[in-house]
Amino acid sequence: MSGTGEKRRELDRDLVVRFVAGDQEAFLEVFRAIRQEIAAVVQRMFRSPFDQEEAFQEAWLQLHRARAQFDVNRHPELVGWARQVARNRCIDLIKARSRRPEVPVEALDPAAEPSQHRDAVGARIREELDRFVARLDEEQQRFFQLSFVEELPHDEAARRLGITARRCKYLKKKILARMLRSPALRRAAEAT
Amino acid sequence: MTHRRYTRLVQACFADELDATGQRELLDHLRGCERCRAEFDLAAALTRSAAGREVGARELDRWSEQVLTRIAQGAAPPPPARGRRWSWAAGAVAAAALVIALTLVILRGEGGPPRSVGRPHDVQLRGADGGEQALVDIEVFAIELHHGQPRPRRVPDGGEVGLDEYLQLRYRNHSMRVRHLYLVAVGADGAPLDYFPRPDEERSTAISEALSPVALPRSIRLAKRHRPGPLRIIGIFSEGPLARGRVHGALADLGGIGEALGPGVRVVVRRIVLTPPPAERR
Repeated sequence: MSGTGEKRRELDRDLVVRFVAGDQEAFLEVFRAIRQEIAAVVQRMFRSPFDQEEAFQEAWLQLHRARAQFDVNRHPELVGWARQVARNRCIDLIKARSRRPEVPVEALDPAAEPSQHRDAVGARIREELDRFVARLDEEQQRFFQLSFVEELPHDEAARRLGITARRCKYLKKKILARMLRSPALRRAAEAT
Repeated sequence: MTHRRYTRLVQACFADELDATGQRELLDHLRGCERCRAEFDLAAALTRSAAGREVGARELDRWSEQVLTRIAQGAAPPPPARGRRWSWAAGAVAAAALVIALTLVILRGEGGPPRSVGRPHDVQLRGADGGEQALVDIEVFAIELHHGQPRPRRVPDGGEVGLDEYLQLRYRNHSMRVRHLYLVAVGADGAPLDYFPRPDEERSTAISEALSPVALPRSIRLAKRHRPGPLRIIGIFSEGPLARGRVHGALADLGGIGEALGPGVRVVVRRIVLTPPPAERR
């Protein structure tokens, strides 16, 4: 099930027992601990971020429903089991939509590394983003760094820039709208 | 025209401006509209590239909130028979904990955590219609002492509570971002009464996500500091800590309190009416 490149993570046995027994707090703990792994699974299966978001929800709903079926004696394998449930749910979704898997090789081989093509496209977007940021004014450049790159919440970005949170919201929407209007950025992003 | 509106919603979504209702509306539209979905995907690809990650932290938070809300709404039923033995054990432990907690709290002159009595309702949420899609909620219970025994009852919006009773508040938090809660009440005289944090603490109380309602650790004795008349209980959920002075300043305009305290703040208001004790009523 797991490839050589896959990191093994184990969750505490008591947590797994409570998770399987239906304890909501335990479910939340497991959710917090492995949501990134499940996000990585849906990302390998779907290219569109919208589809990824839907698949992430469906995968977790399936995990919530199916958690009683996990054998607690195999508690070190919970993370691998969760990834497999998520993968199966994704395959069901792909079949239900009568679509071909968008990234078929990686979908069928969860250990596969992202392809060189994707790396090249990512590098191209980053190049275009650098050019785009260079054309922003100074306030927008500083905001871009804090909000888009460092992903700080608006109130923290506002505090660091000495502006209001409302101004931050305005800047975020304005910069995003400019990004979406930029033909060079659109071309680079659409190539993904 | 519709596409233009949803393009604006996509931008608002990535600017963290959309509440749960807005997100739901947007996602429903995207399911059936290739054009707007392409715009959404483009915005996601660009923000992800800027952050240098496959899925950004805030994007993952948004996905998580949707999952927890759907689970809390019953999209995924609880596990069947295999967990029964454990459920009984957990139930027994919970019941024992409830009895002990109530006893201890009563000994200290306070109420205790009441039993859950159904789904939360009557929620006011900034920018949303509240109801089932609310990510955060406050529930109000009154605990009266009957021959020394606590009797909890749920108080609906506009419900009456005697000044000889205790107030027990519970919160629910499906948001992965919300980490702090400030609970304050405002009576007819307009003066704020801090519940959480305590009067001697300066900042809002730290909380975590909770699929089921969580009882706050102490109850409020209404015989102290309260007077008969209407009482608004205001729960202010925020991503970062809120200082007392800032909250009290924002209370001057209750309608705009969320705006005054900045983005990421969610406000729930519950209204109750305090009545004199039975002896005084006669």
